[in-house]
Amino acid sequence: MNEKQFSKILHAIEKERVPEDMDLWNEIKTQVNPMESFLARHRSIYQRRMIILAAVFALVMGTVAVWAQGPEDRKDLPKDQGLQDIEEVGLLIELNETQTQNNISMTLEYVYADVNRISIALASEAEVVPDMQLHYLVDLIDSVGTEYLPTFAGDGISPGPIPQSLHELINYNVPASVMDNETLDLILTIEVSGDDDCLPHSKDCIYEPESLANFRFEFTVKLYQGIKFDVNQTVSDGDFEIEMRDGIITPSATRIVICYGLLDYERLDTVELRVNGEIVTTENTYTFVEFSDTLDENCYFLILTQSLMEAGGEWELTIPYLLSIIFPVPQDVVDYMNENGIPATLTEDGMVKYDNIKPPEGMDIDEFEAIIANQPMPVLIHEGGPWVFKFDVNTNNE
Amino acid sequence: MNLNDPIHCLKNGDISGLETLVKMYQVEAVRAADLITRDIQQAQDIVQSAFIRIYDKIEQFDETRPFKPWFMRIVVNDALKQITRNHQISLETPLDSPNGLTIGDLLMQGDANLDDYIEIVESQAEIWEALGQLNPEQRAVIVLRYYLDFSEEEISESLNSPKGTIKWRLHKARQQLRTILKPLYEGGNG
Repeated sequence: MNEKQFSKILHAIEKERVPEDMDLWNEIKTQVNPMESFLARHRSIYQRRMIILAAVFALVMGTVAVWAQGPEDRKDLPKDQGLQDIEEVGLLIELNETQTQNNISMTLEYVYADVNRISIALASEAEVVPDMQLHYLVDLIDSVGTEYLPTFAGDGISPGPIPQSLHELINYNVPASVMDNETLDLILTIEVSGDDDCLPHSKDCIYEPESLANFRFEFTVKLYQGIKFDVNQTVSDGDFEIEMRDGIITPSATRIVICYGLLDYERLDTVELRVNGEIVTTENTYTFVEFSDTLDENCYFLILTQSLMEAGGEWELTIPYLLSIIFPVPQDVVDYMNENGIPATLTEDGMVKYDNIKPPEGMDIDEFEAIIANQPMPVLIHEGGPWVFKFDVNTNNE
Repeated sequence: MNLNDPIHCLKNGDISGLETLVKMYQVEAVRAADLITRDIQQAQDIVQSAFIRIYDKIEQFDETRPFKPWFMRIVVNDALKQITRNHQISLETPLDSPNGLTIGDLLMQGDANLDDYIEIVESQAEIWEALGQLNPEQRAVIVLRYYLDFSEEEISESLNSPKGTIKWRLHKARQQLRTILKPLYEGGNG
């Protein structure tokens, strides 16, 4: 018996222990609420529908045979504060290199790299049949084959209901193995695929995308190092301990390692950083990252997406609370919707089902949105806190 | 089947996407978690929680990447966290063995090929018992390597550990299995 047979034994053991027909869905569905998801997205869905309507109108008028988004329509990608900061000091590398294949063009707009992130801005335009939904498979490796994984989300337009165009900022994690490099020789590949025979969600055909174009950009980018600082503080609010380990300040961001060993549903939600008494964080200048090859178990990156290279002095970082979410009872949501004229039912599975995610006939969008806004909402519970960390950061050292 | 579909549904607020993912991956995920926790109820709870987290964090998932490895590494990591929270097992933990050897002692023994022992010890129960004597980290690498068929690089990424550490853990896990199975092997031959 070899290792393959060992693997077979493991499968055989588990086949006996966990039956094939085991089903967790009944448990899971009671703990998620589709309306919560809808609520977060309904504005953008509504806007996308308007865009689709505009596209359909254009087709009906016979003005275009293909959907094409020209460069003149493309707006600049919003840059986070950190990218604006490095752009101001001339560190952002504008490439604007365009490749075209099969009526699809791909532009590598700009790149930037420091040890806290590699930022890459991409834009594409495609002249394809209107219903074709394109998928973009984006991979970043370096010349020795190291794979880079996306980290926190950047602003941009991801493939959506009409993803013939892509305009996106992608932030990648810098693997530990290349952290000390002066430069990175990077290879960005993008495979574009689509199926012009059917829409992905249509029920009467199988969506089988075929590869339509393969782009490859090779470039070398300087890897800016950072200023490291240690915190090594563990603070308790009386119940829970949170540890702050260390951080790195780079031209585009600051990354701080925060660790705690609580349950899964308590998550970091907000922080406030004061430097020499002045608040430097806003709602849009930080994010949290859970997955990285350099993170230990139960640890997270707090990423401050702004330049703090000149912000030496006394730092005070406050985690005011951790966040837990309790979802509303589905029947309460159904009752509320029906009382307010929005048809909703409870499925056999105990889930809220809507006939349409748009205003019923006779109801205007403002009224509809007001009803949605006032529905039974998930209850956000602030747990514990505050945890306050005070430490000195010297930004003059190298 | 295009796996982007349920993800895409989910990202667009369609809960049926989550149901599809649950139906597709729940059994394999629970089995993987059970191999680590050795507790079916706990394994189900872990997988259930993982799916709810997926629902909550689906915006963070890069649709261009395969879902299954991403999800399975979450499940394995959660199982590992859960069991290490419940049972702090170290190399000094005494084994449930009559001679009172510790795992550390056993690691120092062992000389034959693992395959030889497994060839004799065909009983699933014996393998199951042997797995139970590994520590959770070792079980996790065994599950990732031999149950989920991850490469060493994928395991390294999944457990946020350098590849060298993973190679070492796999080596140690194999060595320990070999040592644990040795008496059975000798009994089988004798």
